[in-house]
Amino acid sequence: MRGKYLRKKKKTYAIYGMGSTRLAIALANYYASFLKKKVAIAEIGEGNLSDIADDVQNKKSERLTNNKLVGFTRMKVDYYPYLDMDYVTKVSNEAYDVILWDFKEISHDYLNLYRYCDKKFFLSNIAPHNRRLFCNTKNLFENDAVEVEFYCYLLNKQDKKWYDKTVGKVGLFSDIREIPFIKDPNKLTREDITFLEKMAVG
Amino acid sequence: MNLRHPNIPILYDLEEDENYYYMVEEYIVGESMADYLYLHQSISHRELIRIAIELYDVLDYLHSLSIPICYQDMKLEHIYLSKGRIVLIDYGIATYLRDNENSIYGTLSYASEAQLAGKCDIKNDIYNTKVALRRIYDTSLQRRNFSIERLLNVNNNGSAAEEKAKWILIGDMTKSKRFFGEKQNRIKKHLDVKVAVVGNDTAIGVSHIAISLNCYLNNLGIVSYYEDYSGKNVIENIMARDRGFNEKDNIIYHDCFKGVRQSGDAVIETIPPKGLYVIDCGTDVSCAKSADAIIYVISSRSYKSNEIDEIAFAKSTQVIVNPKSVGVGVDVAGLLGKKVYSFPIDKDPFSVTKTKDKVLGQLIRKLSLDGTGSEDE
Repeated sequence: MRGKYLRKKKKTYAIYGMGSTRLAIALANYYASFLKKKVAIAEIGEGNLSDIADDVQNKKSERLTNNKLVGFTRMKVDYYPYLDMDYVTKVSNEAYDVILWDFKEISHDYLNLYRYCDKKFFLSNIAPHNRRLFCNTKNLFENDAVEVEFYCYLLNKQDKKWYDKTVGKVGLFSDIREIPFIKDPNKLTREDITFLEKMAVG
Repeated sequence: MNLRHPNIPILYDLEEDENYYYMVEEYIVGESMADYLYLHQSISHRELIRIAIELYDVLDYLHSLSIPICYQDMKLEHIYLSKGRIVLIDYGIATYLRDNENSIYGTLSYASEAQLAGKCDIKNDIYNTKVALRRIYDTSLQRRNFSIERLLNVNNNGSAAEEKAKWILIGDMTKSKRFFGEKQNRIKKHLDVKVAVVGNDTAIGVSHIAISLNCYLNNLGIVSYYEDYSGKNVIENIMARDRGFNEKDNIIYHDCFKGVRQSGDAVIETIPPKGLYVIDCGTDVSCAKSADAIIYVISSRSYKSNEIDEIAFAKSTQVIVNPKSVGVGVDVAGLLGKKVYSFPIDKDPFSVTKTKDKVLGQLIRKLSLDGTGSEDE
């Protein structure tokens, strides 16, 4: 009987890489609108999440201030842009079902938080001009033994060949998955939901 | 031989290499009858008649060719529902009719005695079709008002054309409303109607009654959908607890239960299906006002039983006192001047029990779904 009264464990997702904000918003909207969960997106580092808050004046979003945290609410999702590490615990302690950490930079400070998330996503593109950046980030994750789920944009045969040859099928980056283009994260289609469902569960 | 029939997939090309033959066929979008019945568990009588006519039409075409073709493998998995038509697929074991054929083909559970004896005959196809139609009928939950025994008399193996003629005759009879009788007319009247279930207090089983009503109606053969306006995320909570659910196009299926899942602003919603909607309004009376019929649940708790909204006094509104209390029921009936029902104590809202059947049957008969009030009030 004791277990019945234990608090439900909240899910935490860490997202880093190209298009992390778009994916975080889509995932948050999927949880909030489709599964009716209480969701928050927290941006770690300086990013462009605050740009979405521009329409606060147009009353699409509402200003949110609680527990010294400043953010805004839109479509039942709480957004906390440009969050300092000091405020991370405050967001963690809020009563959310799902928290999505949108990492804008990866350093050793942030890697600890990244490591303790339930699911860790790394989004990138392995087109020739982007491979050096990908390899640097991959090395960073591998050195700190952080197991991430790697999602790739616009994967073609050549890129896949390069990936298999360079990265190989062993190690933390053994799996490569393609991420589809989510046209509007605030208006999810059936296909988007199917993909997000797989991503959140699988 | 080139087969041309709207219910047969078009064969575009035939290729072969050293090891295999390749067939390029028409791509058919849809689902098999077996999948459809697994998901929906019900099919209307008109649909069944249409399927039977189309199947016999295909068989009639195959059997009336210059060299008749015996299909031999009629089963639910091979009947495809595609864009409002039936397509009969998989001609892998179809063969020209020959007397000297002595191999056993077909599916065991559909096969006739002659088929099992290795005899190739067009009557085997008729037999298999009847078995398939019987399976559709048996799986469907809407079979209560319709008996097809005389149509599926499996000993009477007429030709496909004769069988088709019989089904067309039955189809015509249903159009003239003689076959289904008055009950079907009453069901038809309920299409595109909203029945609201609303209560005067929380935790008095409003959602429970709404789900039970939905299951009861679906079990009766009236396609109805549960919709949650109470803001309690009833469907999501049920789905989180119970795993025996199927979801397709935003509709949740569980035994007889059909619920429309409401997505938030961030999701592009699909067009809701037509039918009868049972709306769970919780305690929101304003939401219930737009409905065609209302079931008002009054709490038997002493501090709440007197707080009755105006809509409960309306002639067309049916009233339930829950949890059951004879004293409160008598008081409320006296106050409202009409009959008051009590809902049986029950654990599982998805099961249709005899006691629930009785109460909900009485309620449905009393509810006037055109909003004019029942005549026997």
